[in-house]
Amino acid sequence: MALLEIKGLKTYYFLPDSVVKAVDGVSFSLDKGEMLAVVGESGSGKSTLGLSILRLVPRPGRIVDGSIVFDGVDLVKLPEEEMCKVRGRKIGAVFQDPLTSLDPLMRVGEQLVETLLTHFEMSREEAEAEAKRYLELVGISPERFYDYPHQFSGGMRQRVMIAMAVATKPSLVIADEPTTALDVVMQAQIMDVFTRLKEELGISFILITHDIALAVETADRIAVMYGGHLVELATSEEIYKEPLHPYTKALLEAVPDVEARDRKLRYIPGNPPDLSSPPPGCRFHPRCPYATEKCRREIPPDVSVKGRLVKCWLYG
Amino acid sequence: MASLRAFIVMRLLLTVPMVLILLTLVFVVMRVLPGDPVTAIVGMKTSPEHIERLRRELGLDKPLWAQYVDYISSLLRGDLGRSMIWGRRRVIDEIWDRFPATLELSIGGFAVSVIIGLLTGTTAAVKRGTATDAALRVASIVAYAMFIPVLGMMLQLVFGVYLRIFPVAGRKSPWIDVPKITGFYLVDSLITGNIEGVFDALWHLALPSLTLGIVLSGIYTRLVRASMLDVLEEDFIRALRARGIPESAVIFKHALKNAFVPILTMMGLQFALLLAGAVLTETTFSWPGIGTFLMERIEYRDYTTVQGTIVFYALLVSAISLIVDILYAYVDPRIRY
Amino acid sequence: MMLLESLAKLLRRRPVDTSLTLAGAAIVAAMAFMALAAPLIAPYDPYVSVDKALLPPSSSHPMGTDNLGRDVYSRVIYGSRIVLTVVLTSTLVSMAIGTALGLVSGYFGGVLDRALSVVMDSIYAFPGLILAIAFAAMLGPGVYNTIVSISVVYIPTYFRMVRGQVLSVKSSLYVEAAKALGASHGRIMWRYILPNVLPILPVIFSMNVADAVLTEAALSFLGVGVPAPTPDWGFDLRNGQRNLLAGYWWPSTFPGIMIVVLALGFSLLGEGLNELLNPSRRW
Repeated sequence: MALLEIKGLKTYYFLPDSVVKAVDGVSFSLDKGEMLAVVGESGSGKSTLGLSILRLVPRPGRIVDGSIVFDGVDLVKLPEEEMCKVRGRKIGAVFQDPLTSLDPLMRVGEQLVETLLTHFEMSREEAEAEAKRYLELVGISPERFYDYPHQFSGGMRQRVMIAMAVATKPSLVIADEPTTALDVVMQAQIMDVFTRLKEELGISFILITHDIALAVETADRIAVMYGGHLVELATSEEIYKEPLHPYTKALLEAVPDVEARDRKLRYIPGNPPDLSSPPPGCRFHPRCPYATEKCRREIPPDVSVKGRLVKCWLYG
Repeated sequence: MASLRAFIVMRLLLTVPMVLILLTLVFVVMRVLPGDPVTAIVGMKTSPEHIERLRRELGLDKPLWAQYVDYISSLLRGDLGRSMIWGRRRVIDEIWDRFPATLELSIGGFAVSVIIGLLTGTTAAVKRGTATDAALRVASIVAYAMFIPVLGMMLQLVFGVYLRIFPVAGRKSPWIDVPKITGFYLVDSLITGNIEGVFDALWHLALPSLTLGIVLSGIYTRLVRASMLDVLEEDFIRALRARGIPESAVIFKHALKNAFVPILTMMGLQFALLLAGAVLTETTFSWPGIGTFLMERIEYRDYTTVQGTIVFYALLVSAISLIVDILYAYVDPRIRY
Repeated sequence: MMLLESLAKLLRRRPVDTSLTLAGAAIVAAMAFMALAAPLIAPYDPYVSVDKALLPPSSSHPMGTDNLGRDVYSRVIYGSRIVLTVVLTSTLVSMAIGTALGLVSGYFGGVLDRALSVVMDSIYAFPGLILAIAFAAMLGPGVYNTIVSISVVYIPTYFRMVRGQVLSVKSSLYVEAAKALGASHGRIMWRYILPNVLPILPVIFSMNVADAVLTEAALSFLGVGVPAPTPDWGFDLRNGQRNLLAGYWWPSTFPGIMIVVLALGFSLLGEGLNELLNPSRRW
């Protein structure tokens, strides 16, 4: 059985004058020990997807429909006290900006200990020892247990966040743009840590990112999101070698090629859709070079092609 | 710490013109404004010689600039003047006698206002957008618009007359005897082991502190709410929740601590309001502090004492402002530059 | 009507803030009406004893009589005239002087600005009520003196706000352009800078008046404001205090409530307007 199974998830934001349909009918599943990357532009709904799984969607948003079955339990229907026990314990999270993700007034080690003591019955000494172990696991010297967040660099702070996320031995970690605020070297280090954790501890990852190159490099499977819809789902190798959805193709082409010298930078013309009043039919049609009349009128179904998933009229 | 020392020096230098301006302002108010102080004191019925003697005594016969110089130089000597009535005591002694009472009341009021402000502000921030939030915001506006004597009298009626729980006036009961060591009944009773005295002092402090505290809390509620809302929007709050930290710990252990720094900044600035409010509170509850003293001497036309007391207020405000600024520089290194 | 339409829209989008503002406006309007229509609605002459002293509220005296046998209801109604006159006049004077000084100081800058700023900051830091008491004590009781005492307290408030606005507008391009075209200082201040300053004034004015109501009441309560026998809420509050604890609650309670309600009205108006014009927070 899959670790995580999402069916028909809809998460909307209810603003005073409009309703933003950030996640509008998304379904996929995730196995144990698998890293799935959710790729899309900003405004595609990928962050909201991550927050929905954690049930941390901020007001005025909320989950409107669908199910999120994690380890056999539908998280959407879970009461809040139960959800608190899942959050941080069975599902961990790493967010984008490490500079502001830690309480500036509390020592770093103390924050780790707090997390451990919240979820486990252990003594303070045990928790401290455990915390230091995990700091080491992510490559931070255990003496830095007593330091404050502002004494760490961005990359190290992110590693602390990862340590906190995995210290409770979760089965799933959701990482929302974990390396966007870091430089390339740190990015490589962080992704390395993820891969190690995946392989050594068997933790599943959902990596939310706008960087398709990163996804192809590190993830097992890739889910491409556009305008609140899941438009393609396949292994990273399949995506790289044979992208099916026009948007996926455009994303791959937009990746700058170091070797091609005279080529102009390819970009995708147009703007991401306004999710409060999305275009009718396929959400991508205004920017799609292959758009037909049908694309403009009807939302494409989820089509299965060679064991993969595509949401496009070209294949249906 | 060298930069802290530099900051203190700079700040002290800045205090001098500020104090000078306030003192000059007091001088202008007291001497330059229309209204002859002498006739105000003695009326029209005395002999011209008597009036002349008083004039000379008060230094009012000298030219204005000479008066100003006298004024400043005596202040530099720490001389706030002498009372014109009764025992002709030194103003500074009279103020010193009554200062503990005002300080006691001020601390009591301050404590109440902060406690109420923290509780209501935090609740309003956490329940933002709900009816509770709106109700608390309106309550804080009402509290601030409340006239201190009105609230005081209401509390006196309800708790003092109808329910008879608290006394309605004064600082201690006549049958309690407390030796005067520090001037603070609470402290003196504690030191001498007089438990009855401690309770009596607190009992009398209750209604006045509550009155002053409720009215001042109006500002704090809004402040705490705004500060908490700012903190609650920060990323680390979301990260804390994502780790499954219970909401109560998120609010009280993490958010509130972070929200406190901007609140602290405002507290120093509210000191002036505290002093002003204390005057009204003292008058309403017949509390023997500097406020009632000032009004009493105004009524008796004890002109020198009134001037000395206003000067005292000016010096007090400047001193507190200086201390508060230095405290912040100590706590937050960024302010030093 | 367009006004009603936009009002309805506001009520729907920001219900709390709009209702608060409307409540405040209603209170202020009611008070203004009371003050203007006083001779028509007050049943008795507030200066004169019309019945026995300290009579409880009844049909002939809805708010009872005070310790001199005067009708409290009439005194309360006429009191609104005095209070509103004093408070509005002093706040307008403060606004005029403070704005003018802030405009000039901010625009010309230099030594004048520095000196004025230090002076104003010092006054601003001093407890307002105590400053007013000092002035009132030296000037003596009376309506005009009270107006002066209160005006002084709020001048720094306007000075600071206006100066701040002026400083931010001063370096805008169109002001530079006007200078380049040879406009005189006066013209620039009047035509370009002042219009940018005016929008912030209504909110400050409203909150200021609320504060001034409390200051006026305080001065009269303490005996250095409006004197006997002029009907004034603060004065009546104090006058009734000595009999309060004996159970005669009506001579002080009604004036007291009026003080709070008026201050509340202006506060709600000011706070509500502030939230509507400068919304501080969305979601």
